[in-house]
Amino acid sequence: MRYFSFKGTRQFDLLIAICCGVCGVLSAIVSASGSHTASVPKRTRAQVEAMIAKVGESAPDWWGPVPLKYPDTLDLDWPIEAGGEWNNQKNVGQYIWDVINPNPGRWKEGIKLVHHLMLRNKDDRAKVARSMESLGAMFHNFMQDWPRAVFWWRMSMKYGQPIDQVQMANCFWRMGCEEMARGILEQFIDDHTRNGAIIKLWADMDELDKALSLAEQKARSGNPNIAYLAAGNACRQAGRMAQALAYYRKAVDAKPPDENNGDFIRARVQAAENIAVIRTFELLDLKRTANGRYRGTSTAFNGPLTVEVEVGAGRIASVRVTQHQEKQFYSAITETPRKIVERQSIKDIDACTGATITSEAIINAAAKALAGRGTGGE
Amino acid sequence: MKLNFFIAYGGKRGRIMRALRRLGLTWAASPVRRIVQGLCLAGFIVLFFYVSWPYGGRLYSETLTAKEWVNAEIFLMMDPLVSVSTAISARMWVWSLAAAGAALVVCLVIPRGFCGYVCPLGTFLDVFDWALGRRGSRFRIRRRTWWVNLRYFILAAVLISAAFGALLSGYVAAIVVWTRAMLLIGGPVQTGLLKGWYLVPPMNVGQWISLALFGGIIGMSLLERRFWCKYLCPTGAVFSLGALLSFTQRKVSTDCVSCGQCETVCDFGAIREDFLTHHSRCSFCQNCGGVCPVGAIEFTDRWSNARQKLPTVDTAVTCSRRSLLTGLGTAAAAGMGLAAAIGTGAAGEPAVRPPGSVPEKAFLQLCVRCGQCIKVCPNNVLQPAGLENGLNGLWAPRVVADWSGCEPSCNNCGQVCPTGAIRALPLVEKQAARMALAVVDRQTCLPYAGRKACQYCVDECTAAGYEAIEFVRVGGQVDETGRPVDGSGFVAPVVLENKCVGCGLCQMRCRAMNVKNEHLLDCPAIVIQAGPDREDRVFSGSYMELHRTGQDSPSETTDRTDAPVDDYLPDFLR
Repeated sequence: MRYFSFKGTRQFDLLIAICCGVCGVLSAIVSASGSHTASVPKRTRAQVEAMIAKVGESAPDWWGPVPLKYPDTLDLDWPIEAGGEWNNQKNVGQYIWDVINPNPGRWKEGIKLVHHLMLRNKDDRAKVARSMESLGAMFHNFMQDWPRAVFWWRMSMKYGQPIDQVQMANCFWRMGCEEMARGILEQFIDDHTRNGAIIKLWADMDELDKALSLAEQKARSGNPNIAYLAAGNACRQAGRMAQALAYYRKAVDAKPPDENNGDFIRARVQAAENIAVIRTFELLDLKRTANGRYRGTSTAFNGPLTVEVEVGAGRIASVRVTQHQEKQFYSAITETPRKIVERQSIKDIDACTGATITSEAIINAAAKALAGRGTGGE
Repeated sequence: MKLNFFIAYGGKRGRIMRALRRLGLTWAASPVRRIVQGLCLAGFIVLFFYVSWPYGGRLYSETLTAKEWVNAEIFLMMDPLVSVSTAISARMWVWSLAAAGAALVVCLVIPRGFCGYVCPLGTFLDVFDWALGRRGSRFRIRRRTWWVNLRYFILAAVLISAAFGALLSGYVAAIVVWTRAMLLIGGPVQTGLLKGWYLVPPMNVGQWISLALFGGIIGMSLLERRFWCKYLCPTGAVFSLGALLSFTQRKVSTDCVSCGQCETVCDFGAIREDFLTHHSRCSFCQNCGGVCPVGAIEFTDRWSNARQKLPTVDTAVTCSRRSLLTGLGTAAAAGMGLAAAIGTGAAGEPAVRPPGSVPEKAFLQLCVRCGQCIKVCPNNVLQPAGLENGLNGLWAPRVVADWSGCEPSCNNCGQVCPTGAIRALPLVEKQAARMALAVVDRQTCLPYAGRKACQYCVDECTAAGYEAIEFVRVGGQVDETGRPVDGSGFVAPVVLENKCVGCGLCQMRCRAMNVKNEHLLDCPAIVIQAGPDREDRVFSGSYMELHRTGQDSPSETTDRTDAPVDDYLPDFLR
């Protein structure tokens, strides 16, 4: 079976970790609203294959201007096994892991470097195969360039490299061919992936039942936190908020099989944050909110920011920033509350240009106040 | 040619005259002068507190430009001592010399008119005198002794020390002292009332010195009306020297009855004992003309001699040769001594200067310490220095990144600098001018120290558009096969030296969050530092051009020759 091939240097979950770790509630909003695929034109198998052949063979349009750039100390031979101490200025894999992966600004140059090393070490089939697999992963994870990802993964398979089939299926789905994606996914009788990628992909393809049954199975097989989080995400995407909350609750409550495994811990944290987001943003019903003044606090640019929301007769009567220490972006302090009152909602408020952090903190604090989780709510 | 602005005594008593009379004797005597004074003071206040208020628009640079229909620093441009002293000390052409020259040309017609009509400090002293000074006669003195010509010697000392490369005009030039006083008194009040008192930075010793100086100037008015203007102001002394060349003069005719009314109303001590004129002191305010009961006073061209009253007192020499030489000697010694004293001040950490500042030595010789740049700086990034860098750096603008960072959308400081100590850069150039370099303390920075995930500095730098701080993964663990353990370690900040301009936004954020808010650190773990190789300090040329070469850090070569150019899919792969 060609299952998920774990090679440390090619795991890019780090990127996800960066995004989720800091902004918490906010990033959860973004990922939730952005996860459902925008309408992609449907394509037949033949059209997708033609696309992969045509696009895959050609360089992306950014290829020319991006310089080939790497430290002088880098060992360009890129041995299959890096020996010695960890050294991100010498070992290519470690350089990609430490320096390229965390910096979106370096992603294109990273692809260029791996491509360069593929050509440089072309006499070593194993090295060429590894470079191709990396290229596929980078086009997939960095650029969302589905045809080129498939192209390089397939090349890599020809050279005998095992490939992550779930990600291949994802590419086919994103390119608009559900049939090809199903062809791969249906081979899997369970979700063996680290983060429930199969469950997620079924949910993306509107197969909620399949997603949930795989999730239950994954939970039984000793991965409850990750499985229930994936199930909760699936339900939320399908608009079933109550069910999503129940799954998230399970993900939080389940005891992680291994306390030291970061994946399990992160899944619990993420589930807890998602519960908060759903409560505040999606289940908010002003008509059922009692009249009164509610206060909420959130961290803004220069420290905590407190917002007081006044609700009267099922309407947001006023929003006031009662305490803050902002220096840089003063306009948001009055602009954002005005927008909230105008729209009578805390969803889809545009952040003030140049004052994003302050705006978002105000929205968050208002949301917390209305969810009754604020500090000192009456 | 006559140049009489005053309204002759005993003329028609219309309603307007009665109203002016009620305002005061001098209003009725020479209303034009009082009105011009009022307009100039109002103009200064509008320029300083409305035009130089950088908030309200989306981009700080646009906000200033939109309001600046006349240079916000126009009063500083007109103060000749500002441009002359800086030009001498830096040995450079200073652009506002032209404006000062124009002000002196006006002097040819209205000698010392700047002092009588324009100077906002003088007008403020008049207001002070009207409100307080004249009410208490306790401190009034009638004596005029050694200080009568002191202003010329102060001027000499300033120019001599300038010749030795040290700038003293910041202590004594009228408009500079006035502007800085408004900055230190009005600035915090305006910020406090309109934005919030927590946004007012704390005072330092330099600011107290400046306020004491201003307080002294005000206090002197208790001794005598406009004591400062009459005896001490070196800016006025420049205009007095200009008056020597003037085409016009105050003239007294033989009608004079020696009643002494003119001497009573004269603000500048310009009436001689025989009621003729000290021409170098007369500001053409024309109060005397309006109060003269016999109409004996006229302001005409200097060559008209009809019915002139003859001098009865020989005051042609108001200053003996001996006292002149002693005075000049003292001034020279004082100038050189002060220049030496200032030059040997404590060095300290080099201060971070505003973006586009000329090289430090010239900067300190050109910067007249008016504080105009500090007024237009949003969020008080620029603050007047105390004695951190010795007397030589006193009141010069420095970037206080602990307080706030330099806004990318702002180039205001250079636009209002009256001497070119800060270059007036277009916004794109300002964004490329390096003022310092951010340095990460790897001992304390939370991810480096393995304490906590933190990316405030990176977020800040990216949001500002510089993208000069990137991540590197640190403290990651490897499993027994040598592969990294996913999720282990932290991503930590790395400053890209070729992209960092030293704006200090990173430092501000680190301090606001990690030091003040969460109490995780004692001081920010990323700090901007000035010094050679860390800042671009040039007199001319483009900062963007400066950085076009050497795009990459030395250890990361680009444009490798071993790279195949177009070979995306070479034959062996097809």
